[in-house]
Amino acid sequence: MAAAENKKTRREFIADGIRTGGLIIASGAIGALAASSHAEDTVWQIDPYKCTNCGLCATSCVLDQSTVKCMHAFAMCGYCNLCSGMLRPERVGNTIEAENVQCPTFAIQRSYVENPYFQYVIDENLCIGCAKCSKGCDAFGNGSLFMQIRHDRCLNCNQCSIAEVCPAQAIVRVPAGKPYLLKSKIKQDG
Amino acid sequence: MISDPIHSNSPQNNPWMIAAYRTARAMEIFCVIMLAILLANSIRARINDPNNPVKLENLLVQLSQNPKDENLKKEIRNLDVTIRKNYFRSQFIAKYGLCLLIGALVVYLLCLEYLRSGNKTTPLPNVNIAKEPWLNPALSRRSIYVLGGIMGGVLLSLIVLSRHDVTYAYIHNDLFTVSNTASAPASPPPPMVQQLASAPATVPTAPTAATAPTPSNALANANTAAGTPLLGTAANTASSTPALRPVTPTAITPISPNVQTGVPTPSAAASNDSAASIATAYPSSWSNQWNMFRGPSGTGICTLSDIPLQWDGTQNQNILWKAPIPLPGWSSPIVWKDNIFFTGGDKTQRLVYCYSLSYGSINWQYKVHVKGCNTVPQVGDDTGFAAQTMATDGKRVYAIFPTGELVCLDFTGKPLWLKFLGTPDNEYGMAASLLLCEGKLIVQSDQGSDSTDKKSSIMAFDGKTGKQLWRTPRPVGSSWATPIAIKVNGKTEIITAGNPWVISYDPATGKEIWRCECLGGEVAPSPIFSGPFVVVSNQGANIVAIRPTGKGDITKTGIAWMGMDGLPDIVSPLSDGKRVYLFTTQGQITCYDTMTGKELWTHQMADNIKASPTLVGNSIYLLDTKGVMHILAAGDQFNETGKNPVGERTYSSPAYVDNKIIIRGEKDLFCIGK
Repeated sequence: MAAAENKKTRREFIADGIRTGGLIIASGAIGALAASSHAEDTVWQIDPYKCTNCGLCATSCVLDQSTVKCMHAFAMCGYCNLCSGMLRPERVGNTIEAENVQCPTFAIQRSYVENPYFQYVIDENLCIGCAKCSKGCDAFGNGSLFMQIRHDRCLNCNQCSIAEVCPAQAIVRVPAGKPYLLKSKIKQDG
Repeated sequence: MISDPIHSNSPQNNPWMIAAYRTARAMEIFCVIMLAILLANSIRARINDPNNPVKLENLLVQLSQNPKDENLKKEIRNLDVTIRKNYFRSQFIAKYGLCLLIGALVVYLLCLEYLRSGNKTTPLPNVNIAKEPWLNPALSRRSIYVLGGIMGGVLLSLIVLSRHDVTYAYIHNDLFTVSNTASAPASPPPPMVQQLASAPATVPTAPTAATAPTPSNALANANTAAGTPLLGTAANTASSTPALRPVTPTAITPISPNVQTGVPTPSAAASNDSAASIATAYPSSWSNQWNMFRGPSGTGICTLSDIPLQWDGTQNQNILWKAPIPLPGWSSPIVWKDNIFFTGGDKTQRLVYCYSLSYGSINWQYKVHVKGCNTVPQVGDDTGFAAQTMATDGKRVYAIFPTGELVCLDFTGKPLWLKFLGTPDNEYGMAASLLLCEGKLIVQSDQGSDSTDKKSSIMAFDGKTGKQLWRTPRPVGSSWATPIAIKVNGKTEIITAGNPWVISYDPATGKEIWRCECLGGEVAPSPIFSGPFVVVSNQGANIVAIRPTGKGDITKTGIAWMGMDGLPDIVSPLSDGKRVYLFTTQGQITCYDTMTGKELWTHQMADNIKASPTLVGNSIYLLDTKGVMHILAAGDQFNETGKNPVGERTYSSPAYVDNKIIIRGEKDLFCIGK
């Protein structure tokens, strides 16, 4: 008897179905709306045109070895024989010895291309982000060496400790989809 | 604590329990050892920091003096390898040591839990507590002490292990603000200190200059010294542009002084006594600002790029805005972020102005009146009532006036502290600008007709509270030159120019470090440094390169070379590291070689100059009194690469910030940019 009373009529079943379907659709719509209105994720990055190569990146990052590394815009590089990013301006010779080289960890390595050109590559495992090379390149070269935050290391802190101390306010938020601010001709177009 | 299952009666004879007990003990010891290793590693990493290889840098300086010393090269290479090895080894130890420590802690805790689970007994009431009521509080206190000790230890470990907890440079100002003179820290050189290849210098004049001070001279002096232009005289110069200058101290071959026979000649420059490594002394957070007379270094060096190269105020080309200045004054504008500060004044009022860099509108103005200042001194028309350039550390802004009023305001124009230093006795009015050094506000107050008046002094005030930290009398008469702060072999010194002494002071205590008798007349151009030398010059005396390495009176031992041509009367000199440039009010430019003192070239400009010049990259920005900015290429020959009129007479030295130049004209403030 009771089972017969609980039995739904076809009309009630359809009405319940419509209500349930409506709720599901409304939920989906709200979810889609929420997803579409979600702000694009952003990450920290150095604007290379604001950066003054002060060297604070090397000592201000929360990581023991800074997440900031030197990058090289090959499209800009002059492939110079005497690279002002690699060699100190007050060097006593042009050899790649400790007394002549800028980088304190020998992170810049060069290879012969053809006379008188050399290719320069940064070993990021060695680079500590001191910006000595990019400073030298900016001062005497064309600025093809520049500093960037590497996102395979960066923790993307809510408040970047480098940004706090950056005298040039060069640390900015950029879309996570385009996390690097590369120089000049090699702007990232996706 | 771990209960010993071996010597107890309970189920602990279980061999697994015994193994767990022994493992826990081993892990305890391992954790302590690993913690000690990590601490030692952290300390060693700081000592071997490749970012600040002090010993290596010292060797490199030595090598620059003896470039063919093969033994020195070997030593440098070995040290370099050692530093790098130690650095990467410490990185390795830190990374894997921490993993091992965490792993050992986990094992230790698991063992403890296992032992606890096998030792469950019904707790019994502690009969001792019932008998001795004091016992419970005592146990509680002990628990608190132990817990506090553990937490303190953890915090201490975090502080020691955290390499980047606080950046020295970031807190540099505050550290020095709270430090007092008695406990002056032997501060390590902040990482941001940039050893510029060159720095502008002012020139002391010969002590024998017998010319009576004329209003025009005084005016000129005031301008240069204070960084503010005097009426009718030139103001401080412009700074220039672009890329950061390389920082290294150039190796110098000091020249042997030949004082006894008069002026040392360039050829005398060959001796090899202690060469100084001189660098700027400002924190890196100032490097993008123009916060004092002649910029953060006080020497007219602009380390920024993107400084405008072309504009025309008469055609409104590349003029972002132009704003009228209510009150006259020759103080130079200073800039911190979006704020431009300068002073204006006349007989009845003195004001501090803050303009918006973005819009040229007045953010606020503050009318200065300090209690006790009831006398208006006589000042020259060329000096006026607002000749001294202000200074800011980014938190507070400081202004001083020829009336003896010294004020400190916050960035909203609210007064933080005010002081009346007494009405100065200065024939043309005070003009030496303010200097900030290691958190202290330095005021050079040279007064009286000569040193016998005993009215001159230099003072340091705590920037935060205004408390006078020290005051040192100066054996000179009136002068108008602004002091500068430099690092000599890593130690900060304040360099002052007066008649007849150039004197160096310790900023921590105000004690004199060295003095050199080489100036005379009305000293207005500020000192600079170039290579290993402090350079001063003044009309009627000489240009003098001083080795700032001695103690006491170094007149006979410290002068490297002197020159007699093109001596300035107002405009402060400039250096690009290899050369020193002098500028006279009449527009004569003379270039000297820094190392030898040899005169390289001279050129006569068409117009007068009163503003001090600025070096931007490899360009010299030189503003003449007609408002035309001449851009010269620094080098062994005169080479003018540009001329840009602003359309108004100018005497003050411009301020240079990113993409913009701020020029104070006779009536208007101009912002140059695109």
